[in-house]
Amino acid sequence: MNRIKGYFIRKKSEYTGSHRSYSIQMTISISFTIVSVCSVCFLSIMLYQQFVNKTKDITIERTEQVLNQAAINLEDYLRNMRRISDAMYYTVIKDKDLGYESMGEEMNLLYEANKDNLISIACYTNEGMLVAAAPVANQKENLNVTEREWFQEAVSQMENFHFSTPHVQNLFDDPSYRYYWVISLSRAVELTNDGKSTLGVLLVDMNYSSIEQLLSKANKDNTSEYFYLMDSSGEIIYHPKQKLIYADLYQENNLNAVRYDDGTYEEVFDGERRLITVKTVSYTGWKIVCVTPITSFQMGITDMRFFMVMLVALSLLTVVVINQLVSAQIAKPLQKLNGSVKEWETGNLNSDIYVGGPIEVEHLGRALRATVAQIRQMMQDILVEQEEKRKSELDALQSQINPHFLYNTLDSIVWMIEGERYQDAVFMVTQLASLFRISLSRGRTVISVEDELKHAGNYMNIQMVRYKDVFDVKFEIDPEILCCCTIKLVVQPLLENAIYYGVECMDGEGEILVKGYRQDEDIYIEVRDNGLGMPEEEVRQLLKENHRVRKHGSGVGLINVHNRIQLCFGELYGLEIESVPDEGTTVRIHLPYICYSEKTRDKLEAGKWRGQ
Amino acid sequence: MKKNRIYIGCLTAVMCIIIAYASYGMLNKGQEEKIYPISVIVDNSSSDRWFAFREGLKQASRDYHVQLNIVSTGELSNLEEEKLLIQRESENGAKGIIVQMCDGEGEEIFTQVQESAGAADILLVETDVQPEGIFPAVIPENYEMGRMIAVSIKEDEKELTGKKIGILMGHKERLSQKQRLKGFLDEMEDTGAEILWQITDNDIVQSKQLETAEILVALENDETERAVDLLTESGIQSCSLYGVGCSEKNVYYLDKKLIKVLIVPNEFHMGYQSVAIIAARLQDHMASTQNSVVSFLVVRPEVLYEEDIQKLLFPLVQ
Repeated sequence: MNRIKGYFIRKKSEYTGSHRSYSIQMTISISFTIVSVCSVCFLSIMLYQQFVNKTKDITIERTEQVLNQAAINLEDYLRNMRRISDAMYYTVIKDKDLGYESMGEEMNLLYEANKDNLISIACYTNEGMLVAAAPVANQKENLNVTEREWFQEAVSQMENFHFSTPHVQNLFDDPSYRYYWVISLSRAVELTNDGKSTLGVLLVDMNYSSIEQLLSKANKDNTSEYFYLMDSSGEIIYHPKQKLIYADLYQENNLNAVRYDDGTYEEVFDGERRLITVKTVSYTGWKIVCVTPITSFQMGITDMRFFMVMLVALSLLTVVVINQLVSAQIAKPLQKLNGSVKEWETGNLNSDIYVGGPIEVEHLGRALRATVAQIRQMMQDILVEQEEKRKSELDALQSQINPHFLYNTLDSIVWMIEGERYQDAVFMVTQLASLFRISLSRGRTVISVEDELKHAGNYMNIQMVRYKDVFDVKFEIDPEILCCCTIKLVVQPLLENAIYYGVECMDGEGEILVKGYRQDEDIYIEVRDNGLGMPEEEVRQLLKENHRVRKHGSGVGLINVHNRIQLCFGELYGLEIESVPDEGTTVRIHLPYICYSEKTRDKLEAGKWRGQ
Repeated sequence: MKKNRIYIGCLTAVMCIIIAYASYGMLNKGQEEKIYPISVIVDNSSSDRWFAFREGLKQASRDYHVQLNIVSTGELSNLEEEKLLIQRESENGAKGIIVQMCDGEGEEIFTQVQESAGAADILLVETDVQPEGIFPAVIPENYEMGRMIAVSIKEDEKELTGKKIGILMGHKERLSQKQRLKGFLDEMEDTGAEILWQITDNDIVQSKQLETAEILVALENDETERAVDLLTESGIQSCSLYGVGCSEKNVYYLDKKLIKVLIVPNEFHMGYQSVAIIAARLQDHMASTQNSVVSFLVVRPEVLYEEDIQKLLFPLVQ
């Protein structure tokens, strides 16, 4: 059961799979072609069948006509034979008294008048004695006609004529060695001998050739249709292949056909389908049968069959071509539309969506074009929104630094003024003013490395005053990088971290080194301290978003700087941290080498540098 | 798209093939049936003796749609004469030749006759040639026919010892005659009957020879007729005649009881079968060429008019 289910599922998936791969033109073309083929084939078969039936009807009709004609001719012939017999009986035999008269002369006259159809006329007494015969001939020796079938039938049914089946006449001696096939017409007659009535038999031997000629005319056609004649018991009287039947070289279905009434029947005989038309000849009960093999009239319609096949093939060919043209015409706008959608799919957002074709496709194109325009607008809006978001995020990050630093510095200045260190306070305020000037930078976020380092210097000067030379700071900057771009306030938070976490509690032994250099197309600014350092695990956590240590300051220094750099220059850049416990920490700022100019600054601030 | 083009291309190709086939069928209609000319060369072809044979030929020519030409011949006495006739018929366009050979022996017969026939197919009737089987042949059971004459004599004569028998043969070179004679002699062996003389068709029969013989055996149609004529002319009534034949004259003599037993080969069948075989060979050259043997009837006057006998013995239409 599961196997069967699996089979059907497989078949279904195969079907749906293959169905999907058809193009619209192919689907239309195949559908039209299938419908057309079915229609044309159906019509052709119907027409052909009609033609075959009509041909069959015509054949049967023609056969029946020929058969009727043959029957009429035969009946006419047999009627003539009966008339001869009647003439002989009623005009000769009945008028003669055999005691003193002979009927030979009249019999001869009658024979001579009909000798084309007759072999002989003879009259016998009830005892089988020959009374008279024409033509005059010697009767064979030791002949006993009373044993003959024709004689016995005439005597047994005296009121009727009796027709025998064909046989060789065996009554008279013919010195020319000729033997004739005859059909004997016998009847009982009343003979008068010396005034006494006695029974006798009149025999008219009809020449079989006459019947043979009569029926062979109907068989003159060269078709395989033929006619044959049989008596009421099925015994064949005439058949175009009679000798073959006698020699057992051919067989006929006469014993079955004799049971048929008049009409047309279909039968299978000897492996052959054939039509049998039967017509009964009046008086004798003989039957003329016409045999038409089904193949014979099928041969007649072979031409028609070829013609039909050619017509169907031509129609189909035309239909296929027209289908192709029509389906192409229908599918063309859809294919164009599909093409422009595919181009759009490949990433060409500016591709033109096709609008044309029938109303439906045109509407589809228009709708799609409007949708694409809408999507394009929405994408633009998203970009602008993202940029806005980035800027506001950057601003927010920067604003996290300023209050933190300001608080510390002002705290230091307050502390100086309270300690009456006015000179230092003035220095601090001056440095702070310079620091804020750079910090503000007229609202710009991108400044030159030189300004950034100056800002870092101001900051360190302030811190040095605050921490009273607890640590030493040194700047080693490659002049080549001073003209490069950086975002502002990236070095200062690192210095702040180096002070708070590195050298704050080292009692004058702390050292901070700020080193700037170029390497290939990148620049690096390192802030190195010899402070406490930290384990590697802690280093890995420093630049993670969720790791925020709030021991000193805002606690957002490193991750803040790292995110800002990446927001501006891309994810390839940012901070790199190396630290060894009890030896110190190095935080390296990695930036691209971009010369500072108004153009590059604007570009960076507009966020168009990333991803280039 | 590409699939679509392949499908349409295939469909178009199929349609074109069907159109070509139908056109070919329409144009070639009527040319399918060839009518082959076939010639028949038999000894004394207009003789009544061939009546049934001719009927068979004609019937078969209608059934197998062949054009039949029965060559008018006199008495064919030698192979050279027959070869000339065969050559002439072949040159006249005969595709098949049915021939009754008068000479029956020799390896070279095949080559000589085949050369004369050219491309025409040869089929032998009535008699084969030695070695047998080199040509397809339709022949009666010659040996059996000869043997059945002897069997009939044995049935009629209670005692054959010392009975004197005279034999009339047809063409002595003809294999059929030799086979009939052998069949007869084999059956008569050890009966004590004495074969007084054997005479062939060219020999003259002396009245003394007729007088001495008690039983006459004729192994060929014309010889049977000759025997009756000789017996009638000489007025000899004590001599019983057993013969082979199928002419109406012989049947008449049988009817008149001048012949005691007549062996009648089914020559209608022989004629029909010979055309059927050669037509089959012409239509299909690979057709079988095995010899075909036709049966015969043993007819006595008493059964002459029996239904089955008369159907085979007497021609339907005169």
